[in-house]
Amino acid sequence: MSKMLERILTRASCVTAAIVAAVACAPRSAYAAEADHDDPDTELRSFKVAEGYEVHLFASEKDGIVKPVQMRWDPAGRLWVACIPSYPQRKPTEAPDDRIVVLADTDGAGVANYASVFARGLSLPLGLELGHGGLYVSSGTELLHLKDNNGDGKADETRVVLRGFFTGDSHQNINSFTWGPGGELMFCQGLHAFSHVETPWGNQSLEKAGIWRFRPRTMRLESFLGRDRGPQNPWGIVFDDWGQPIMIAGNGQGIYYLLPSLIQTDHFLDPHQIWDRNGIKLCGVDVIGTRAMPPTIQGMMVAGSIMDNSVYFFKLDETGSGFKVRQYTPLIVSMHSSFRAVDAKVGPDGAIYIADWYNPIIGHYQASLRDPNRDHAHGRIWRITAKGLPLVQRPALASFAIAQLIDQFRSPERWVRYQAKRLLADKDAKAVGEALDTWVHALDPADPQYEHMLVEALGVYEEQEIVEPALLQKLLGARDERARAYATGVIGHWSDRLDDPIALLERQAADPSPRVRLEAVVAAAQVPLPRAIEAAAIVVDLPMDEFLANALTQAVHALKPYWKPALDIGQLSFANKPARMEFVFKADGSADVLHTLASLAGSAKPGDPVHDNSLRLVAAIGGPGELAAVLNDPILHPTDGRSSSAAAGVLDAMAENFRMHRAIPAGDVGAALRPLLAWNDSDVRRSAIVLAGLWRTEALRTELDAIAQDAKAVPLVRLASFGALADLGGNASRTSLIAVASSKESLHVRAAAIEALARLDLPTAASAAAAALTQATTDADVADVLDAMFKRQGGPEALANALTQAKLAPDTAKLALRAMSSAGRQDPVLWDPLARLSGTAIGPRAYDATLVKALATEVASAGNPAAGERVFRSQMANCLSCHAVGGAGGRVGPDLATIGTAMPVGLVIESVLWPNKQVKEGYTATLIETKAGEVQQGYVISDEQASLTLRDPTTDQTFHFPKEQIKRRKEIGSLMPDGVTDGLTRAELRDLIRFLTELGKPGPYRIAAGPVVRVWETPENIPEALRRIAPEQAMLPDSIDPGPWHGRYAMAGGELPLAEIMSAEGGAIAVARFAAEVVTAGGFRLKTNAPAGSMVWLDRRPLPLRDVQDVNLASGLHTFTFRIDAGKIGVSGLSCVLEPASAGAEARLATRIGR
Amino acid sequence: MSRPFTTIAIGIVSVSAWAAAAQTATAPTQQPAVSASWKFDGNADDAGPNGWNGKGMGRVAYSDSPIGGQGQLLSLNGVDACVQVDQPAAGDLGEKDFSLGIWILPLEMRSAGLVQRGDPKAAWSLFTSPNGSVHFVANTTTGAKLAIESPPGVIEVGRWHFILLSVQRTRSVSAAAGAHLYIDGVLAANAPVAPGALNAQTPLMIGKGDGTGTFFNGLIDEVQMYSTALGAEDVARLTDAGLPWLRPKPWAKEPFDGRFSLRDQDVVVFSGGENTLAAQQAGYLETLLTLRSPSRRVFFRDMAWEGDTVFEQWRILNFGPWPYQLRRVGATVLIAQFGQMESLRGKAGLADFVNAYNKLLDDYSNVTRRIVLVSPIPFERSPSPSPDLSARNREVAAYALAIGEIANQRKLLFVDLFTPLAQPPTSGQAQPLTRDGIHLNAYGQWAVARQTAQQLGFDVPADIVNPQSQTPAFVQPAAQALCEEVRRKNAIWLSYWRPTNWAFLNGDRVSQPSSRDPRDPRVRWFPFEVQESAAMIHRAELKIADMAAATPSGAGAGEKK
Repeated sequence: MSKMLERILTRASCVTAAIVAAVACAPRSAYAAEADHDDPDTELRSFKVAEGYEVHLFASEKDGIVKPVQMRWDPAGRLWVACIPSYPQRKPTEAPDDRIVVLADTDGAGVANYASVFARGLSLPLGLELGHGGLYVSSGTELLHLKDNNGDGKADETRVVLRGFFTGDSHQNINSFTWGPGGELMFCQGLHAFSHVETPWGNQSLEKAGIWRFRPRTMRLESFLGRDRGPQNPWGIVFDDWGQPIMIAGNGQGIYYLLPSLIQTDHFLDPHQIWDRNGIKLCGVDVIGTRAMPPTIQGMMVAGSIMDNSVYFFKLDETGSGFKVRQYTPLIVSMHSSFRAVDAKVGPDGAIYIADWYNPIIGHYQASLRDPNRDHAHGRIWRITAKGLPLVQRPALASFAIAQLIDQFRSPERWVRYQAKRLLADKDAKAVGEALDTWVHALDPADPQYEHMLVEALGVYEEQEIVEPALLQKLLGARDERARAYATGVIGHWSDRLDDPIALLERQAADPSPRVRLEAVVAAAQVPLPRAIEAAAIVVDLPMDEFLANALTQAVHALKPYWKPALDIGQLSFANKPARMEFVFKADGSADVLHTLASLAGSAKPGDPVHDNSLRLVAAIGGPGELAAVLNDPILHPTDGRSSSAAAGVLDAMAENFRMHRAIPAGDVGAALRPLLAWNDSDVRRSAIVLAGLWRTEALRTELDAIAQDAKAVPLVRLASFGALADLGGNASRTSLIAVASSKESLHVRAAAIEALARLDLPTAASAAAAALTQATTDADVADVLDAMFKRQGGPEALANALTQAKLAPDTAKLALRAMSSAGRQDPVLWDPLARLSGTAIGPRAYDATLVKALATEVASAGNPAAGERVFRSQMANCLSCHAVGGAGGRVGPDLATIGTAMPVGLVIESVLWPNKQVKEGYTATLIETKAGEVQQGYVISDEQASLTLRDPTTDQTFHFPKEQIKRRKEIGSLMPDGVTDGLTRAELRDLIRFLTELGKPGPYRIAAGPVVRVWETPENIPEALRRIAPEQAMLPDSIDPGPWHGRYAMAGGELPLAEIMSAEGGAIAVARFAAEVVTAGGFRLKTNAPAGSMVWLDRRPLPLRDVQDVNLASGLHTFTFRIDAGKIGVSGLSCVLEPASAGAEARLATRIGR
Repeated sequence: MSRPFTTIAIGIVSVSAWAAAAQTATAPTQQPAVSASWKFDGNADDAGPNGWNGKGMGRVAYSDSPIGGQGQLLSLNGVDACVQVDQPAAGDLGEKDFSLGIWILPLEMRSAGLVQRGDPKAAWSLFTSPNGSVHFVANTTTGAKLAIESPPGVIEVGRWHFILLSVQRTRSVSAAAGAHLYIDGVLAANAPVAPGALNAQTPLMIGKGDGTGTFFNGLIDEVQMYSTALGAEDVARLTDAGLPWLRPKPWAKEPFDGRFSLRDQDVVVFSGGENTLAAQQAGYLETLLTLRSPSRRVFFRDMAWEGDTVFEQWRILNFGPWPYQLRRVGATVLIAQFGQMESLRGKAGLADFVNAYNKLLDDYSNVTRRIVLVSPIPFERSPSPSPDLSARNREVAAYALAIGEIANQRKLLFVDLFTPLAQPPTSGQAQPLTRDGIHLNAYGQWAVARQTAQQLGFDVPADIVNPQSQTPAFVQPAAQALCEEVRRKNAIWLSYWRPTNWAFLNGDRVSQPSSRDPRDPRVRWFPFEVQESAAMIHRAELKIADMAAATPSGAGAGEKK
């Protein structure tokens, strides 16, 4: 093609595209960032498909597939699709008319050639599954069972099975139905669904997000998680081949190992996140188990990723009693912003089917429910096959007799086994039982699949609610731990019908396999007997991991109504194993087990964990009498003069006890504490000083005062004495603190004294703070002083007042404004005078819809994302101090990795310019003022009846407040200050917005998956030793460590920009390092673009510089240091990937720089 | 109003729409003279004699109105919408008596002008305050001031209110001079009058205050001016014609005298668990009670919720406590059914149950003392392996008995469903009443409705319900059609009362963009949209009344004596 012709063609197509875009955009809102391309072919062309796979359209809106949200197969190979055109909210004048469409591919061409509406008039059916001769489907508040009795393909019988599921936020209604291996219907519900359901077993409730388990035959409904325990939007449950449940959710890091959470209790514990990727939200999941897919992906999960228009593969790796997840190459990455893979199911032919909800807007609360850009007309089902692999033939299951159906458990196809089980559920229980018995006895124990087939058979008995102790016993002793684990779980299900479930559980709880032990704990938690907790606690004898510990903790709470009365009358012995008792009582944590704990502490010697831990528990929850005994414990009176490292822990527990319960030991506490002030161990000294203050121990004033005035004292100890003096109060304390606050000592020490002084005399403290500020030169100094005043009610006002007397340089005022921004404070009373002093006008601006519109247009036409990223990273905008991108950055505000796909550009603009206009859920800060005048702001992480827990996101510290000590509680909205972008030019603002809107979209600003190094450190000054190092000087010299190193974040694309890390005096040399914490030792692969002439060290050892370098890493922390000769290079940034190269190897890369 | 007004005479009472009370001669007193009437049926025209037509300013909208069950209303977004009447004399209230009426539903409690004349020195202004009070302030041409102010809290967000100001300035034999402010048909405040004319040069504004712009956010309907001072009876009649359940009914304080009866404008509220909730979807009991009531103007509000027990009636955020909820719907009769799920706690839980039920009834009694307690039904044997609850019927019986005792002690009516339904059938095979041993199937709802109506003293004629039939349907097609309309109305009520996406409507997400206009986040769309259901419900209720009147056996039939 001639150049000229190519140009003409290009221009012609551009013009056409522009016209199309203009037409498509004409009636749309100004927020529409891009033209719509509603043709399936356009969407198909946007797919980047993993090597070895191909995608075809299976069905679309032309077949009636409009807003497909979930899909399930029937045994005849038809695909049942729930379509919800009314989402998110139907009009009051419209009756509900969401529907179920059945698709079939009758000629095997890979395209649906039959489509029929099975049911309509439903209200947002977010869950469906075939079973018991009909279709289970959710509709509004109801779980329905629909049947087609006359065979015309349409539902003609509707039975309400359960109702009372609430619909507070329509996408969080019950959803994602799936059959568990034992015939239990599992489903999810989200955050605003407060459900209350009447069942023959009593009322069952699930408030907020969680999981339901329903056994239709017994009508037994159980709820798990809920309140604040769940992920906010669980959207999929899948069982692996051995019945292990995995839950996925539309949350960051949304993959969970569900088993430890399947314990009904009100006790708060988070479910187990087994994936650490943020900013990606998953929806709809299946496990690959078919010969039509390559061996490499067998057993992997496939799930839709709704925010970034992708479909992912995940590998489940066993770790201890649980799992962890690794993300694999994405199956599909789309450039099409409407591609929303909301469900993924392997089909009868072995192809992977993807339900594509097709919508440019997914959010329920980021955009108006009535946003005209929401699509209500389209939807697709995509079909993905593996190139070169034949599809599998679906057996004619519907015509099979019972015995034939049972024999399908030999099939390597998960789909066939699952559907055979469904059909067996419809057969007569007695006939199924007899046929199973015959089949099980005819199986060859030497068959490699033998135990797996037994597990499947056990599941059929479970579904039919036929208790089969012999098969259970056989599997409890199976060779394969996965079979033993499954059978152990069945003890829980059948516990009300087994002769002695406790005896069975006792054996399984001591199984060598942690998975089996975990199942034993979860099963025990379902057994309403006093001894169930004794059986569960056996697992403490063998190594514990987080899954076991959490499950056992929940079992303790779930079973307390049974074990506590037995304990009180001395009927529980825990086989006289103190460790078991200690775990149970510690997990219980309530005061009513104090007595038992105290005697445990008394039964062992200091240094013995049983003694130390029990004592700490008594210290934490005991009353005056118990605390007096704690003070007398040998741990605080060592005969050999050596202090135990646990002593400070015991003291700290008493401090926490005081803060929560105001408990003070009986007797002379001054005499008890005085010797501790002389210990060598500074931790013990500090803890004792803190207690002296909290307990108002006037007798120790002289000692405390001496420490406060001792400039040589260990800072940790000395700073504690300031607080203690403030606790004691009075003029003597005031004088002592003023002396330090106005001394010539470091601002760090003075700030601590000012903070303490502020509690006694706010105006004087404010004057001292103002004076200190005038001498401050660094960000850290200013932040220390400001923090001291912020912690006090009225502190900012007093400081503002004092500043009128002080002469603050404009630059210092700027530092102060920056410190306030970073701390999420914008109290106008202090902000405004500082802004005046700084000579800059910074502050809130009035909402301006015209500006939003105009800026949106500019962003689209002229925004430069690369320039925008530079603005994002600049000191001026300071975004990174609060926001992470793909995990790298601050944690004050939300991670922005996919903001571009989650929000229309208009909302991005509004969120930047008017941060308080709408605050992302979970990011509304709360300010607490205590009756004692303390002030603390942060996010509420738990709000219990008696106490409130706040996390200060700027320091990541957690604060507990007993409710009775809270004077005032106020929601203060976003911590993001108004006016952060005021210093930017219009072009900079435009570019910044453009960068944000690109984040997550396909292209250079989509955060790459995988172990990319995102957090680096660079030295403030390049150490001489490193500057001069000759190539032959192999080892990295020790001398490079001491200098200050500063944190650096990589750019969205993964590169650390060299321009940012080149210091002026460094010449052509740049130095950077990163840390990796190796969890499981093994082989790793370091990939880097560091140019020739650079040097790399692993810890102290030199590494050969290659693009790809394999290393073996022992567990623990490792540092990779790079010295780059920038003069020789062509790259603009340094990028590194550290990925596991051998089985099981696992490392964590730092994702955050401490503030 | 868009369609001509009709009066439907049924029995001794007339079902009259808004205009009936305002304009027809059926009322006992002399009809007040209307000097201006803005009905907002798609425009801001004045249907009164002066033709003071107004124009919509900003984004005004009109949608179906529940007031009087017909016509449209004025929808104001609180940001830029109001109505302006430019005619020089519009809103001149003169020197003599006058009355000013307006229906409002605020969606935000703020200081907002309702009807106003004059700026900057307001000649007169009717407005709301953030504390939920209503004010009228006027400066007359003589410089005198007329001011009247309701107590705070009389106006609530999300609820219709009828405000009527009546000013008697000419002394007459029958009435002393004075200004009276009525809210929802009840006198809320009075004040002395001031001499001088209430005229001004500036345009009349509806839905907006003075020049600083305090826009009203919500719905407005039927702004009426009268050249007379309306009396309490007129006001009550106007209130009832607009929304019959709005005016507090004094008879709600008087318990039933041992027998059940329904009165004109009664609002019957059902409370209970899933079976009570499902009863509204079946519609049988409501149809029977409608047909057998002397007045067809009885309103039914099913406020049962799955999982409700006497111990806990869980409601999502901002529903408010029972007395508040019951007042909002104007409850005058309460039919409560509890004890079924509670009985699973066994006899050991009975004392707690009685205590909790009494507490709950204390709550109800704050609003109405006309209460019926319905016993639980017996459990049915359910198929193994689900638990056979019929084994626990002895306990259900104990709970039923206890409820009967509570009713006795508190002088409430009691419907015993347990005893008749626990009897073996007199003939033929017993048909299951439940789907799972607890929850009524269609036949169960039918059987329970008939039994309840019967025990409430409402006989059910054979031409309406065939006593032998096991099919849940009315014999008469008209009655069956009525039942279907009842179901349709209840479906709207259910989605109005506990709507999907509550979090964005009234919950913890109202500040999110979701419930706001996609182009102007200052404006909310959701509450406005949901209020359309209120109009649909009232219209359906008028239709139900029409249909009941046309049902042969229904017409004129009274209660069983």
